[in-house]
Amino acid sequence: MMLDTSDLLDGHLLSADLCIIGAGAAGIAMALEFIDSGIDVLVLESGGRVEEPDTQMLYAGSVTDEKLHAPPDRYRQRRFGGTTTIWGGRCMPLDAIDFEERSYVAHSGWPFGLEELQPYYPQANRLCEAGRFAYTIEEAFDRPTRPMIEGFSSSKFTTNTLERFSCPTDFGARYIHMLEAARNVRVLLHANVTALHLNSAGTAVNTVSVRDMRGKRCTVEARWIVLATGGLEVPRLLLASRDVHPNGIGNQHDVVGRYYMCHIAGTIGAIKINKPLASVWHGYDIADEGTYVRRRFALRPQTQRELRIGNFVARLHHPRITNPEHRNAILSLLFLAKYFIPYEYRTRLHGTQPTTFKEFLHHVRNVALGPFDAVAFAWHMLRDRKLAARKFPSIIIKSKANLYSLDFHAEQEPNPESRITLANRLDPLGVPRIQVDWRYTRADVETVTRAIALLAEDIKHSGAGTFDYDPASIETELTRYGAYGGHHIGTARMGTDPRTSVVDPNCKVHGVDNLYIASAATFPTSSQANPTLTVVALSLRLAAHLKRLINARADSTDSASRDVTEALSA
Amino acid sequence: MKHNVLILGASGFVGRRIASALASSNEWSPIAASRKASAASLGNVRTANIDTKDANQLKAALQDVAAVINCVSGDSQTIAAGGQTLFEAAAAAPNPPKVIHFSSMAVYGSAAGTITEDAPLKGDVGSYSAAKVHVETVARQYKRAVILRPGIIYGPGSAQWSERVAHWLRDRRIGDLGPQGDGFCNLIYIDDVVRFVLNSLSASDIDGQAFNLAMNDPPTWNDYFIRFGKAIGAVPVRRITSRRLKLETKALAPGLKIMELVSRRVGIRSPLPPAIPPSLLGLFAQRIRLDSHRALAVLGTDWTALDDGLRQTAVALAPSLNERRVS
Repeated sequence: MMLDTSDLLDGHLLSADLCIIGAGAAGIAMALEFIDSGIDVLVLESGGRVEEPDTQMLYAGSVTDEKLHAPPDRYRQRRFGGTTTIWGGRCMPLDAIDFEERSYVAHSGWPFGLEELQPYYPQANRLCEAGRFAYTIEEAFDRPTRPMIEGFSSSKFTTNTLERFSCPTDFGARYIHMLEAARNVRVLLHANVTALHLNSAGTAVNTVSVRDMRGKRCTVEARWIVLATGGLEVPRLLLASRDVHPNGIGNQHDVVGRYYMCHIAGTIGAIKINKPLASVWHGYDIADEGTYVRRRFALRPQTQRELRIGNFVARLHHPRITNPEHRNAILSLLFLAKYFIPYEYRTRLHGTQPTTFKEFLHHVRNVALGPFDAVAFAWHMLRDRKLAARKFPSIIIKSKANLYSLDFHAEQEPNPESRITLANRLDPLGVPRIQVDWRYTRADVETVTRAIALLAEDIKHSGAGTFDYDPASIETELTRYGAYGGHHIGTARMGTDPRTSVVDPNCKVHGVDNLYIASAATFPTSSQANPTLTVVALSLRLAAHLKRLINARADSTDSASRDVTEALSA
Repeated sequence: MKHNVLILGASGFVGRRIASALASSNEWSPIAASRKASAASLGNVRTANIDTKDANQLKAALQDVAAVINCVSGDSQTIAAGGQTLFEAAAAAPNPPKVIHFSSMAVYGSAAGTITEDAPLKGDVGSYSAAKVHVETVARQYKRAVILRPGIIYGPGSAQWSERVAHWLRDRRIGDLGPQGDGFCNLIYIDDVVRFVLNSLSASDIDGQAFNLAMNDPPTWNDYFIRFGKAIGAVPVRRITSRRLKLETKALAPGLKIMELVSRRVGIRSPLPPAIPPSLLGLFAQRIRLDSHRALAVLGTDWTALDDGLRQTAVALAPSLNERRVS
């Protein structure tokens, strides 16, 4: 059932068994799991069904180094469906090694292994509409597929693991019909949570304060609360709720907001394949159920251990768009069309450097010299991306010269100095805004440096071609666009020790009996993988845990009532 | 001695399969009845010309039968009038026969959730569902009625849910429908239906009962289309936009349907592909799940696994799909 705060009276008190704060990937995935469960669920969503500028600006905040991190109101959406309304849809599970405590990755280690999430990944994949949970080429296809580079073999990298692509599915638009029809799930729109209020002992959340943009206030009482917002909003709400604990909820040991990770990503070098054009396949395959999938280079776990570096993947990519020297009509067309591309994608496609008039003219010339390529590409993007329900995931351009760059995506190590804090400024609802101080370490640079050197060596030794790059430029490249946008990880990390973590292995906030977190904020490490699929899997796991907990409590209440009835009738 | 069992609607997909199965029975002797007996002819099986709306024909046919299986399909008027006439004739017969009546999950109308046989009969999704409810109301007055409420009967020979869907899939006109295919597809394999009917004929203690017939844990329609598409090699299965689905059901369907009716009237096969009727949109999205535990107790064994059913269906369909492709 869908409700709106504007339909409620000022001061309204809402009650539920379970209150989920946030209707993005995590919140909606959880709410769907509770349909017909007999448990009364209330989902609080700050926004409406479409983006509303005043609500979106509640996300605004400050960034310590603006070259390293996008403004906090970018790459996330404060509306029904959350950031799935703009995401790219890349899905993949974490690797087993990501869960390990690795002596060479500071503060690494999850309180459980991959096997704990395995039962939830297939359903997470379904909700993301990323097809079957099959993440190697052998599992995904029962027919032969093209190798990435014919003849390339490596003991350091695999090329058979896949990334699968969601439509990309907007969880709000996709699942609203189920939530509308659900009798035991209410979704309240325009319900901004401004604070969580603990009992006097500070051991449980008593009430949740809600306001809409017109100032109407509501209060929510629920036996269980799940904070299902993104990795920036989780620490904000915990830190801002300080009526009992002066440092904020779950922050007795100053861990909330620390260990903030994104991913270390960039594009570098020139890979020349010395083989026929047909021997390279860097585009998408389509699985039987219609999902786009793509191979990549993935650094083997054994190599990571031997070299004592983090997780790393990379893809063959087109040359940098901004430089017209590529003489490619399609790339220049993309450059010229940059004003029609959303900010979140424009930055990585075009960079932030201003273009000279001469470069601009050079791009125009490239398009003029290859009009048929440009038209064919425009038609492909119109048909397969703009008009398609399952969208072609990204720009794939076959280089006639068999020349590529390398697009890499690497793990960032947890660093307590990389953190989210509260700024002095308040938003219009009186909630402190955030201050983002994202930092990377030498170990992060080392992971990329070592992995790229290994790949260059393997490309050469396998006889596939050459990979030329400037090792001195690696740090520049990985910071060119700053922290990878949209991946907000680790700010309320999971662990068994309250001194170094915020939530326990069941995602319950240490010391607060009824408060749980469903978010990438709980990831102790970042992996090479995009986080959404794992966020959904963790949310499904949390839903299963809460169902057991709530049903067990109901059973014990029933049993207690029976005992009382029997005692009275005896 | 064998007992006579009259199969009404024996020229149809289900009736024909039941008649065929009963032909090798040691206990039952089938009479395949249809408005045109020749249409129901099947090897050595006896046939009869019966229009179920004709009370006199029915009365005569019920003189010497121990059971009737009513598989008559058609428009809502035929179903309602035929069903009523049948049960009135059965009640007036010297030895009232057991009547196994094929109703439909359509009797539950727009209901959602897990539905047992005790759920109210809404019949609120068009004249077909209302007609089915009407006949069930009449059947309830007849003590020896056994009411079957099958979901989606698929398998070799199913023109509606296998052949037609296979052509849609092959032509990429249907596939993953997104939210519009999130409804449950309450599939039941044709062989399971036949087995259930045979068991029902012998079961003495089920008179007056109704049975849902559908596999456990049914897939969604999206899953059905994807798995069936894979079984017949129509891959990759396409994601269909709501825009495209609207075009198919609102703009193309009327013309294709008219062409189909005209072709049938003049006795030729329509040169155009089968229409996707707009009425299916509601079904594809309906979150109704039939609970068929009661039927399983009668059947004694489990339903055919979906992948097995789809595999056998694909094998049976291969020539027709290939033929259409070549032409």
